[in-house]
Amino acid sequence: MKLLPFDYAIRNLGRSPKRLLLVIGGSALVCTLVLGSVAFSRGMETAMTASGLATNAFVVGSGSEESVERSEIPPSTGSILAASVDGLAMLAGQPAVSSEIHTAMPVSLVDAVSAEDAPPVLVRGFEPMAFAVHPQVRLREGRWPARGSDEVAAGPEALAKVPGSALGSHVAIAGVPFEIVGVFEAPGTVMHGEFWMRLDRLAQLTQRTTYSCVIAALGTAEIGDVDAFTSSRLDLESIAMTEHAYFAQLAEFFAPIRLLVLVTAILISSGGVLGGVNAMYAAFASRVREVGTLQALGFSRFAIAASLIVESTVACVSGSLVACVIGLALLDGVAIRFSMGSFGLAVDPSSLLAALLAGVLLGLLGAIPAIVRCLTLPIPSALRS
Amino acid sequence: MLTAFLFALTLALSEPPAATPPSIPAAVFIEAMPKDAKSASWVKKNTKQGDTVVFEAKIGGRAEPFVKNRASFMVADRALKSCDEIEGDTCGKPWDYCCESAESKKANMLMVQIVDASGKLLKCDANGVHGLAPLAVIVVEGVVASVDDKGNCTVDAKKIWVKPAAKKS
Repeated sequence: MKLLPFDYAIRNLGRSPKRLLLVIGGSALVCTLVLGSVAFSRGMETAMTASGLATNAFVVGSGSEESVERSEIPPSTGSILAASVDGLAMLAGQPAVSSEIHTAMPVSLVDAVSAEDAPPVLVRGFEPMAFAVHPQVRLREGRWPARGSDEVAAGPEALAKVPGSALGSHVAIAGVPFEIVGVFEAPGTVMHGEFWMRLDRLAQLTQRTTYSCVIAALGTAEIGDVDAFTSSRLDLESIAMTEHAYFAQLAEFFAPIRLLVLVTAILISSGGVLGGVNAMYAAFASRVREVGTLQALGFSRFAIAASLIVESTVACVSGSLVACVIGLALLDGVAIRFSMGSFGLAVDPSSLLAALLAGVLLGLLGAIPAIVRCLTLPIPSALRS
Repeated sequence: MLTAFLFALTLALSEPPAATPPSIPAAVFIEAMPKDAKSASWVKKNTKQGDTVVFEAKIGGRAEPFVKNRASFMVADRALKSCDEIEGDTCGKPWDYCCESAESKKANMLMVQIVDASGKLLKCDANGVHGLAPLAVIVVEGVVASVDDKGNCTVDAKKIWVKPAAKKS
């Protein structure tokens, strides 16, 4: 079977530059939306994976396995765990066990006009051993808050949540002013969007007599050892899992949100799809006589359909390449902030592949109505049209 | 010379014998039910570390009563009603005793573990071994490893009798 030359399809694309731009633009819009939604999903997944280490045991109150913010465990849990489980990692002769409080609180600038509308930001109460179990955290500027003081350290995304806040400025956390004395970073993790203050001060601020969790670096111990410990200590009413498992569970909890974003993107992009298909249909419909001529010259309907599909696919894939460039240049790493921290959009090979596949699919689907229109006419009718 | 070389080569290429994974010794499980079994709550109230005890209990007390990869599990006093014994209850995990208060759980539940000769907890699953399963009724003969006034009690099991599951008609 004789196919039409490849360059025939490519040259046809240039016959109407405006129409070509319209198709490429529509395709780029659709593919950008698909890329953005996949980047959202991948970013959230990546942040959850990076935030929790498989080498850390995560002890929370039983019944709060899906939300550490709801968890309450006795303050003595950390020290009892450190004394009871052999093989935990050691740092300077001390077991690497970090007791923490995690709570979302409204944070605004001290002199903000409307503190009531302040966004909730995750505030973590920590002790120095937290750095042994969270090696992702690095101090970028300033210093860490002192014990018992009205001081906090902030992640860059936490600062972005409170416009105007910076190192040295004062923020009101639950109405109490705190000085930002340090800026830390933990790229790719939820901690990048948190405020950290000393554990004793946060307990005092929230009037809590309990902590949220204990995180222990396992060392040569295994999670089964910590699980056996929490199971045998009925008085602590706690449960153990790896920190990685906790965040994997959390990622699963957020799966419907990721799906919702994807469905929304598909719904919005369906407008773009229809526009693209319409433009493609108009472009091909005006060439019915040309298609009839090709048939009269002996080219089969399949060969003509293949040429039209190539033409349509090349235009749409060009749009998806534009979407990939937009994604890499403008979307990659863009922070999405939510109550328990933040994560960045991840324009990775998966999201780029999704955009390219969307372009190919759009090209194939977009050509079908036009092919049906052009090739179902008898040759004499096509030549007379 | 060639023989020696081949022998050395064989030794070098042969894989070291795989270590036998730990398992609960079959001798732990007995056929005859020990007599004069007490209740789990009695054990918690009336014993001290090192006492030899015989008690009857039902496996359960939380959603996952068995500790993964460790020969350790939680049991509840038979006086407590598991969710399957409550008429009309459709609890998906009837062994979690979710209808009981935290105080009641503290007073009526304890941990059973199986340790090796050196007293270390065996690193193997107990779930499914010799009929051990959530809601299984067992009689344990063992030694109190730890007990305190905060509601914690752990018993090192030496012998376990598992009540045969009732045959479904």
